[in-house]
Amino acid sequence: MYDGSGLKVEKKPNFTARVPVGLANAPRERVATAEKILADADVRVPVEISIAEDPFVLLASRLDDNAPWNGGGRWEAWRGTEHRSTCSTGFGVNASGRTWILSAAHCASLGDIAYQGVFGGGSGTGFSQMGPINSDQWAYDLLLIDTPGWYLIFDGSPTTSNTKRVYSWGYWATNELVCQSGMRSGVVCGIRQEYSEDVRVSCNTPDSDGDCDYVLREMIHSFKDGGGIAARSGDSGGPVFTLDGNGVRAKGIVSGGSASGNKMVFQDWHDVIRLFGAYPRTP
Amino acid sequence: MRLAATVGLSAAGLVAVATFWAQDGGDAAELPPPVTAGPAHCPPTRDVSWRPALSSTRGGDLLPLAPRRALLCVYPAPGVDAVSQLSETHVIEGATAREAVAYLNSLPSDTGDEVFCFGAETAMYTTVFDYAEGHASVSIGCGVEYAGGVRPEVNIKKLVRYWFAE
Repeated sequence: MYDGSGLKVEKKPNFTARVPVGLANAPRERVATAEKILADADVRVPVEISIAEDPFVLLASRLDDNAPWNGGGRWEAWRGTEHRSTCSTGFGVNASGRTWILSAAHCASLGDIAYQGVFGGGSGTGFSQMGPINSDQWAYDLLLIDTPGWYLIFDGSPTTSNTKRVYSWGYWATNELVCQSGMRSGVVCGIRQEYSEDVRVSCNTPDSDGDCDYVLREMIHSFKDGGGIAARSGDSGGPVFTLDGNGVRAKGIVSGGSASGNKMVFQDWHDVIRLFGAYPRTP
Repeated sequence: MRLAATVGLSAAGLVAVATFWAQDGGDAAELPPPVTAGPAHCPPTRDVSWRPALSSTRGGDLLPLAPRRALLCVYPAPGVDAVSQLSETHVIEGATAREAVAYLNSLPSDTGDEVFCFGAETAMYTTVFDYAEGHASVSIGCGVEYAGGVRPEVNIKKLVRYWFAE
């Protein structure tokens, strides 16, 4: 109550109902009942507990997530009031005793701040500060965002709230099919890894600093089987993976592609380990 | 007889230009590129695709040589729906507009290797050239395309500087 005379607590109607991803992200041992929390808090005013009539709705999507962040979400790089680029989150990773978000280096630079969601995006979107850019490995197109990462990636359309768990990681392999889950395309599968080769950055699409005509090292060149689009503008930084049971195996980070969209170029997990000592966060 | 007709289509915020040629003899590469009837204007919207994606390209000049003026249409990185609204229009005239066309016409039609483009979304540009007979609209993506002519790589910073040289 506003006058301090008591406390009203509203519980969700059914514990098995779908819960916001942010709550679903919480480890089970950290979820306590309202009664236990109240008892532990030693509340000394009258408490009224009721059950909500309406179910909870999902609050997290590619366009509106919350920490710890999932892969495959939309993020924007800003330098003060200057928007620099929009990309996709890759994977939550463990490195140096904590978690981070892995994405693509050309999306931002040291000094930029990452925000999740859509600036001025309106209904169904959010805009939340994630954290500063930490490690910018531009020659390998990988970076870390200094913010907590989670073990889920979004799985579905460009606006989906569905997720899959990340169980493992693996190196690239010729002729193996992979999927990617960038925020612009949603999940695209049937992308065949063909070869690893350096690639020159064209001046059609300079990086966030305006730089181009330099070489990215050891990139994996892959093609959508049977034609069609493997990746689009906006998918950069997004997760590349194969299926692993009911979850996924992390394989790399989307970098770019060809004009037709049939070719996707990504950085593989070998360089993630070599540069950052990072592995995907898993359950 | 030579006949060139250009049709502008607009649907769901996507502006496309389809060009049709009919000719009796001669090399299509030697034809001057056609223009679209009507005054030059910036399209109100632009999508984010990595155009162009053509398997073959027209040779010769990409654009007619002598525009009267040229527009630079600026679109911020899009929000949710992959379509961006026009935010700025900049204009150059006379010799500077012709220099911009000369630069685009100087681009090679074959760069040897397939061009790689980054997949981050940033501000986007479309150039529109105004001629006595009509106008030509060229979107800058992963390369440029106009009336069946593809140039796989354009230095976007160099191109934009024609509008901001002063």
